Amino acid sequence: MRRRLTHLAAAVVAAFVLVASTVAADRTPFRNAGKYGAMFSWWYEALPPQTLYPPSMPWDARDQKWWNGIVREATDAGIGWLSAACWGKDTSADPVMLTRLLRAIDANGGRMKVALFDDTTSEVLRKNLERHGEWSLTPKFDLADANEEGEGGFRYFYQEQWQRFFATIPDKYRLKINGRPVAFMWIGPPEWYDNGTAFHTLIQDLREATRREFGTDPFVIPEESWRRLDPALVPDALYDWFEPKRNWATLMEFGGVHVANIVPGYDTSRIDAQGTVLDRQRGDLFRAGMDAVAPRGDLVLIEGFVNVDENAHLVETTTWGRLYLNILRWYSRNIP
Amino acid sequence: MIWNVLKYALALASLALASTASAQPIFIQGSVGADVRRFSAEPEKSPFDGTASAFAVGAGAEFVRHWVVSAEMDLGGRTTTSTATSFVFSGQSLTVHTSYVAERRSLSALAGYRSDASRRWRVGYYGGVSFTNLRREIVSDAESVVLQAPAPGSVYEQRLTGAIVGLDVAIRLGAHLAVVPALRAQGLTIGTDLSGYSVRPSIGARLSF
Repeated sequence: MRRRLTHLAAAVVAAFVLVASTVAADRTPFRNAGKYGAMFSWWYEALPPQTLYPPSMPWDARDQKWWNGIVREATDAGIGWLSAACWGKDTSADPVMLTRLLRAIDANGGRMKVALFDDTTSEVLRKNLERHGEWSLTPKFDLADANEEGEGGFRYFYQEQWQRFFATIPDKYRLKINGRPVAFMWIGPPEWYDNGTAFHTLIQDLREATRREFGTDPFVIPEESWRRLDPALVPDALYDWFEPKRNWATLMEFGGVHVANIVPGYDTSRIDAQGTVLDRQRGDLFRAGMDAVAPRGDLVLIEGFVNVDENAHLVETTTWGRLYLNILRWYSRNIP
Repeated sequence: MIWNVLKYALALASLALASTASAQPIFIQGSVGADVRRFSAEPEKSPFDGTASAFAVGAGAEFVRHWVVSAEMDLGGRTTTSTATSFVFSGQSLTVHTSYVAERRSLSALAGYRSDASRRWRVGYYGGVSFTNLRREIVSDAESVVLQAPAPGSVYEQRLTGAIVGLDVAIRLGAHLAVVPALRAQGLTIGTDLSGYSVRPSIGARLSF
């Protein structure tokens, strides 16, 4: 009897080890990086005059050391991806300039990912510069005019923006959701765009062109204003860009994906006497916003890692030291 | 990789030894104690750190002299850390309150060595695989304060597989009964971001047949 019981006990242990370990097997990851990411721009040759809180590092993106320093600080803060604010061909934020970011990522362990952030101001501005010789938001961009017969053109979105991004950022560096590279699109106000109801066709065409040329289907996350412009739009996810007079943190669910947007502070008072100010309150504004969006956010898009133009930056400064890097690190560790 | 090797080695050893088992004792045991959980969340401590009560039951067999296999179920209680952040937005003073709750449950397969049964004090050393369900819950009014949206709270359940080690001293009280102070330790690593451990001192009783 005792021998039988011993057999039974050992067999139960063996079965338990095998069955339980199978149940606990790893699942395919939803994301290929941490949930926290930040806006990134790279047009700097010097610190702009409106910057109130000077970064600790020399501020010149012509120097590879600047890129390396940014990625090092972002990594320290637990940021998993940078959202490259692209303005398109022949601008100071041309996606082809991002090769320096790739070098910086490699120099810092190679784990940081990159998402395309299509700044949708740029398509209007580039079109108007080319057609009317003015860097202006008028006349509007006609979304229904893919063939450039009037005030539109698919080329401004694809050949001058998306194609240049995907040609520059190899697959292994791309932020992915369910294996698909992420592309954010900024706001779509009716003041800039005509025939907004053609936006979903534009997205379909952009995805198809990317699939055809790069063999990958982008996971497109437009700003929610596009869906107001084009109710037929069914994107992969949506986000709601903050509006400093109304809010500093947002969380939007669409298609089962929660995307957050948050800013640690904002101050444009040096550009405009009536400029908006979101007081940082020694990090408490950022902490309260993160408490609201971090637990349920699948992607947390922070504006912005280097936004010294609007004093919305997170990088180490001579004013607050590494406070915001440390706050973000705390969330990335505790609410991964 | 190492866990795969470990679990298959343990399973194969258990099966192989089952076939050669001699007439050695079967035992059951139960214990109460503390579950000390710590996570590496610098620059400040983690809100999921804490010490909770713990309760464990187990059974096993000494299949050959000194060598033991066992299975244990171990339930660690809830820990709660609360924070409050005050700030001003649009001239309004506001405060958000957030609670971080953690709870752990583990099932472990252990193999180990025990010192001579003829002595009154019997020391046991164990190693094995633990399958842990770590439940973390964040309850906050931040969503309603900041986003003016319902705040349903967030629950994260992680199933973790990892190594566990243990030590105990069985102090014989009678032919079949011993009182057993024990210690178990295991890692609690969630992805690459949150790593921690659980150390569990306990005291219990063991009944051998």
